[in-house]
Amino acid sequence: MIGRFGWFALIAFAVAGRADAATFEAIVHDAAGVPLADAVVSLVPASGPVKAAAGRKASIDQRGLRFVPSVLAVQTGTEVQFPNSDQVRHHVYSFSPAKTFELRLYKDHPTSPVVFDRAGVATVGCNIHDWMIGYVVVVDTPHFALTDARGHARIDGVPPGDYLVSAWQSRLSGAPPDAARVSIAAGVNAPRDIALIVGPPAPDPAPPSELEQKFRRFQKSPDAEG
Amino acid sequence: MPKGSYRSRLAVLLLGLVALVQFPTFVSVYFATHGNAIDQARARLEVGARVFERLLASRKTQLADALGVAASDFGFREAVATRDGATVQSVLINHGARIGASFGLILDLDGNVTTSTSGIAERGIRSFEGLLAHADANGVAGGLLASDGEPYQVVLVPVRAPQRIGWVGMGFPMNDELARQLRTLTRLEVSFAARGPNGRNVQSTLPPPARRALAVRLADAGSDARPGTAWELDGEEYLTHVVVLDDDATIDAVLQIPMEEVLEPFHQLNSQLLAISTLSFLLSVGGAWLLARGVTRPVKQLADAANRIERGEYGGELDTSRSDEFGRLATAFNGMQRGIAEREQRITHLAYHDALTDLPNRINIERRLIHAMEPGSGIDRIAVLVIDVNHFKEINDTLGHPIGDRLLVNVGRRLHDSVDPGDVVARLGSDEFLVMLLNRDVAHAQSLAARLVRRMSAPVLLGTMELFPSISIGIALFPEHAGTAEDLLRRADIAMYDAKHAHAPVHMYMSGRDALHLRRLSLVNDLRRASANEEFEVHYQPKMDLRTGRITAVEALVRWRHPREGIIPPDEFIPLAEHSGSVHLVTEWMLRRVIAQRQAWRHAGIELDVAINISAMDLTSDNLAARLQACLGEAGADPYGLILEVTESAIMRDAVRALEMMRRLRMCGVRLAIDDFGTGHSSLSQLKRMPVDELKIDKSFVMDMSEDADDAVIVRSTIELGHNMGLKVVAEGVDDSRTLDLLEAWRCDMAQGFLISRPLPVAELETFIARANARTATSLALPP
Repeated sequence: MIGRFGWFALIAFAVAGRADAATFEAIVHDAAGVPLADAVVSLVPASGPVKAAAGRKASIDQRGLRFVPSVLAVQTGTEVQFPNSDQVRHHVYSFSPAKTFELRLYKDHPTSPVVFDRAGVATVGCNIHDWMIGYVVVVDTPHFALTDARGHARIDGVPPGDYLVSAWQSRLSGAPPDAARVSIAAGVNAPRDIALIVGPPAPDPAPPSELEQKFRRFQKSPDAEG
Repeated sequence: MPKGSYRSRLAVLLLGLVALVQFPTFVSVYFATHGNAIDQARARLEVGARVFERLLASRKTQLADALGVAASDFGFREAVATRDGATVQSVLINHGARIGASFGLILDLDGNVTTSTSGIAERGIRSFEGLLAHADANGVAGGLLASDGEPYQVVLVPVRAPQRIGWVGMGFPMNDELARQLRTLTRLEVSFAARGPNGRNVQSTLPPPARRALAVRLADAGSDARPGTAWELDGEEYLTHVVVLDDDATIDAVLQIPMEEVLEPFHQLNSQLLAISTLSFLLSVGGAWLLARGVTRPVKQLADAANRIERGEYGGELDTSRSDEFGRLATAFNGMQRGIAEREQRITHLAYHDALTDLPNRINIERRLIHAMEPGSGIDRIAVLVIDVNHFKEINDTLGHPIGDRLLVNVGRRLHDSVDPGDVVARLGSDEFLVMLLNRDVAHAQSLAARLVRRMSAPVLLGTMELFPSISIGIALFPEHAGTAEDLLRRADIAMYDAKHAHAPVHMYMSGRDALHLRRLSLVNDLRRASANEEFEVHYQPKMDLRTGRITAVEALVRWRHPREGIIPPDEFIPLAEHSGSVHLVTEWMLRRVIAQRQAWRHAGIELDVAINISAMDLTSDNLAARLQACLGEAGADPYGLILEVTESAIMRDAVRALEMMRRLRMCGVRLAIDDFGTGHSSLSQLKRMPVDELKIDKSFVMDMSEDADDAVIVRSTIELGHNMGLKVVAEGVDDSRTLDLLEAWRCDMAQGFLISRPLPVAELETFIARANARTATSLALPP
């Protein structure tokens, strides 16, 4: 929705130990201090956005009626493939302002990758499987990372300098916080603490219905025999 | 059934009891079933309300599902996600039409309307906040909204692209159509009432007038009502249950059952109950009537029987076959009826029969005669024989009543045995019997009378005693002698007395005898007043002293100067007076008059002995002596020179009492004379005991003695007998001088008769005596 793709960060960061490269670490959590996984932390150089070189590729697989990974961070200009590893067809689409596209029902590989050429978050769904939700987070920088289950993100090889740090998580509610400027020194910087105001955890986005489970078993049994 | 009868009262009582049982039953069943019908309807209403709410809820789910499907459409989502307003609006219209929505709208995640079908704002829906909060929590939401006064069911579902980017909502009308559908499921009248700017807007299954009434009612009274109360709408009652559908109480669902429908089965049941009650009441009427009749019929029969007995009909017997109290009563009744009949028969028999002889009595005979004399009775002629037993009184007196009664029984039986069958023998009283002959001629009656006389003369043996009864018979004939039963009997009686007097056994009634008889009866009647009316007068017949030739005594003789009949001689009226018991009046009158006359003579210097006749009845009445004393006392006279003459036959009727009375009279100082001596069968020994002073020789001897030697002997002997017994002797009936000479020669003391003088009134007597005694004095002085 409107404003959902803006940035917000309370940022603390550390400068990498080495002079030519630094490592940036951040801990992302909610207001209560609960670590948030799959949060995207990015560092946009203060000098301006950096687009990816042409031919940069990434992909989100569709496996088990889910997007895998469900959160994909890419640099602006990256071509993202949406391969289909399921037996069923998918109809992948996004109405997000960051990237509006539609891949009509297909199997295996769509005919062409989708180029995400605007920074923002594109929410990706499948028209025939409503629970399938994936996020393509497009950032104007090559320096970004996803938090692990402990909410810990680590970005290596960051040239020391000034950056705007921002963070995003799918449960983010309200407007994202503005990007915070940080100076990153060489070497390892002290981990930066980022708190995000999020909504309640969404219910499991892909509850395969009972019908579907039956359907799937039906699908598997011929394989088992082959 | 007469009003107020026991039967009607009994029937009314029974019916009253039935009604008493039936009416409360009917009423309680009526109210129980009525209440039950209402309760059932209320329960139905309650169940219907729950069903209704479930239906609405499930409709909400259905609508939400349908809307969810529509909202999942890719094109729809794309349109919404891309915020293509015109497209979204057209999609809302299109998809709304698919699922029958009236309006549609899109809300953003903050609840603001971004797109809607036309007129949402005008519909007065201002806020979906309530719904939205609900939808946020549950994913979908359904609710009710009043839009522009019209009720809508609104559902909200999220629009995902693929995450939730907003809400789509649609409103479905709650209109008559929905109400009808719900009615088919709930079987209740369904109304939706939304609060609008212009009052209540009612969508309903009710007919329009009731619908308007409902709107008014809701507007006036609000929707607060106890479930199941009855509302009256347009003259029709409805059991009503109001369901408030939304939190703001802007829409009410009114669920109703028409009272008519509720009470329909009750009315059916009620009319059946009424029919059953009526039928049973009618049966009770019949039963009560029968029962009352069963009780009262025997009573009525008894009452009828009692009336019958009252009328003297003892014929019918009551039915005694019943084994109950009525049967016993009927048996007792029959017994009573027989008893009454028997007693009445006995009484009737006694009334019409003589107890002693068991022969028909006088009343019986009179009735039979009256009956026989009626024209058309078939009886042309009747002969009545009145039979009297001669000397029965003497038999009774001398032999006693038991013998007399046995004699009468014997006579009755013999009479009965002597007549032909069909001839009736009756006893009229004491010694009088009667034989009634129907359709027989005179000859037959006379021959029967002769036969009866002959038969009766046969001796009757009573114990050791043999009696020889004789009878006198008088015969009277109808129609020759009398035209009525009374006359016929009386005339036969007269004939019988005539027979007795004539000493003939049988006498046929002679015409005219009855007139004489009736004259006697009237004389007897008049006799009672005669003394008071001074109709009597006294004549005196002189008695001559044969020794001196002087008139020294007189016999007082009564005469009756009857105002109509003239002079009636004592021979005629004295026996009548004796028979009728009024002779004492005559005697008393005579005593007073003669005593008074004697006093008068004494004062005039005339000394005369005066004799008065005393009847047999006077002699046997106990108070003669007392009356004599009283008369003397009243007159202040002495008894000397007063002579009471008593006939020999009178003394002999009851010699003992007569002698006693004579002694008492004599003690009063009067003298006594035996009158008619020689005719009374007295014995010498009796004569010896009689306290008398004089004998009067009966004139039947004296009158003929100058011709008849026997009489002369009797007279002479009597004179001597009297003298020998120390009595004076008087001869009566001296009619010629030869007799007088003989009497004088035989030294009879006194003579009385027409030769000397007839009875004379006082004045003539005084003249006669003066002249006669003067001549005697001369003749004595100058012997003849």
